[in-house]
Amino acid sequence: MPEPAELEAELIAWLAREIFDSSIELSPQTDLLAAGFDSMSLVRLLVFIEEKYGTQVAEDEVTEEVLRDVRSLAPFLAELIGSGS
Amino acid sequence: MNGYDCFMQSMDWELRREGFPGFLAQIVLELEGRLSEDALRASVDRIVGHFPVLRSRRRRALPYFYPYWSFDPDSFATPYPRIRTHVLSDAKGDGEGEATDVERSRLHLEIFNVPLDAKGGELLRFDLISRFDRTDLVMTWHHPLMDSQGAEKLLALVARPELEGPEIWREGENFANSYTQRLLVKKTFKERMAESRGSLENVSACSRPAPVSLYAGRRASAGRRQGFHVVRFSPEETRAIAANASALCGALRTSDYFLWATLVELDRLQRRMDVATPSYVITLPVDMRPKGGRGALFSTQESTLFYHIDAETLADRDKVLESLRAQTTQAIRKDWLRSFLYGMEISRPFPAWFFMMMSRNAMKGEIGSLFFANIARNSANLTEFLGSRILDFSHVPAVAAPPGIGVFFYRFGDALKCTIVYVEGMLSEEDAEMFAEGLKSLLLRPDQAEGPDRADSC
Repeated sequence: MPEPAELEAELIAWLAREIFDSSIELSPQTDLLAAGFDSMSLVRLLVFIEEKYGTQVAEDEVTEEVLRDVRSLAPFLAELIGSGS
Repeated sequence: MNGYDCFMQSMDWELRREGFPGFLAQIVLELEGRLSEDALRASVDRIVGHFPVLRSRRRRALPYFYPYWSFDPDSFATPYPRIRTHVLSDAKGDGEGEATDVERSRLHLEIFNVPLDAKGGELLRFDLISRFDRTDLVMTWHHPLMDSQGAEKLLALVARPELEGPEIWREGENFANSYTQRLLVKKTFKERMAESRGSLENVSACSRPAPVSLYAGRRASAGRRQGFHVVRFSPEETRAIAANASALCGALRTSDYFLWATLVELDRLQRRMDVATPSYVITLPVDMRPKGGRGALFSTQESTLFYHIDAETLADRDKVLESLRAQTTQAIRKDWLRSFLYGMEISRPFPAWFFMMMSRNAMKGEIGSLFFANIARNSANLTEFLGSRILDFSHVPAVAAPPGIGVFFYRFGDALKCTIVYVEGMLSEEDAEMFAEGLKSLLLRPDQAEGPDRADSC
């Protein structure tokens, strides 16, 4: 199971590469929804998690609270990955 | 022009072939107070001076015959963009409310059906409708030039007279950062064909069994103009709908929720109209700009997802939502958004009629059952235009026929809005209103749609 801090860094790198414009300075506290993260971004993120870690995350498990920022998202995903969902 | 621009151009060709004004789109603002034509002209000229594409003509050239926008010396002499002022009878304060509303609606409809002289370099037009204490501003553009997000950004530039030269350039990226540069690796024709195969096979799969659009079923009564109906939701209704969408579809998945409701209502409408179809195909444009940045202003920056639903499935809401979710996930997993763009790029050297013929062949004579978009928020966050407060904001894009009907969701402030565009004659105003009311009711009370009664055909 990846450590939340490790997953946090991985998520930020992926988001910067795949979702956000280079002008956005992503940090663990960046408000993802305010920065433009949308439903298609979410689907892409979950496909990335599935392909990278072999873990399927049901979309309805991901709430807006979890998507607040990477600091909220990382431990949520880390736990699912660790439990082998 | 990129591949998607060419696809949009082919839809313009198709619409003109069918006798319609062409593939144009509008943003309509209702402004507080009066806006003078001179003030608008000054701002428009300032912006157009920075973006000569707004007076360009489409050309093709050897060796590859790719289309492009060309600004010729002649372009300086064109009268475009035109600005026209219309004065309603209540402009002096002596009109009657209901009569003025009718007059205003009729005028909007007329303006929506006036073609642009795109061949002559008219890619943009402004109409001002002067009322007693309000002004309606209608910006009409040739849709192949830019998508709705680009148009919102352009309007935002016109709205701010304080912007100077470098700021205009900074705020309005031109063709830079286009999806072709960011997403598509330069490949041979054969390689691009291979890349495009996945999404094009999906498009073919969506047409099995082939849908029958309202336009195909009601072609004899269809006119050559398009009408529209705007649905407004209050902030309370908007919050209720967002809560319904979240509860049924998960966080952020409002598109699925809107798609489901639209499909159910479309099915009801087609059954009322006696246009039987075994399935529905709906297209969803997806903005390919990186989030949070400016992105390209001109040139369509979208790809398209195709959704196929068997008509019989519509009786089961959970099944429909699950199917929509599964189709989206599959499309992302198989990279069909990028694959579709490769397909569009392959078609660039072909004339519009050939491009449209290929599209119709892929979809067995149709292009889809309905055009759908969830434009989400007003991306430019417009609240003022040249000093006048914006009281209302609407998107009104023309739709290709077939299918002859489109449903577009967007936001203005904290209110959800929806524009339904349809071919006049194919649907009456009453049909469109009934469709709109049904859609609104379903979004607010999703449990009232416990299976549309397929045995109940009018």
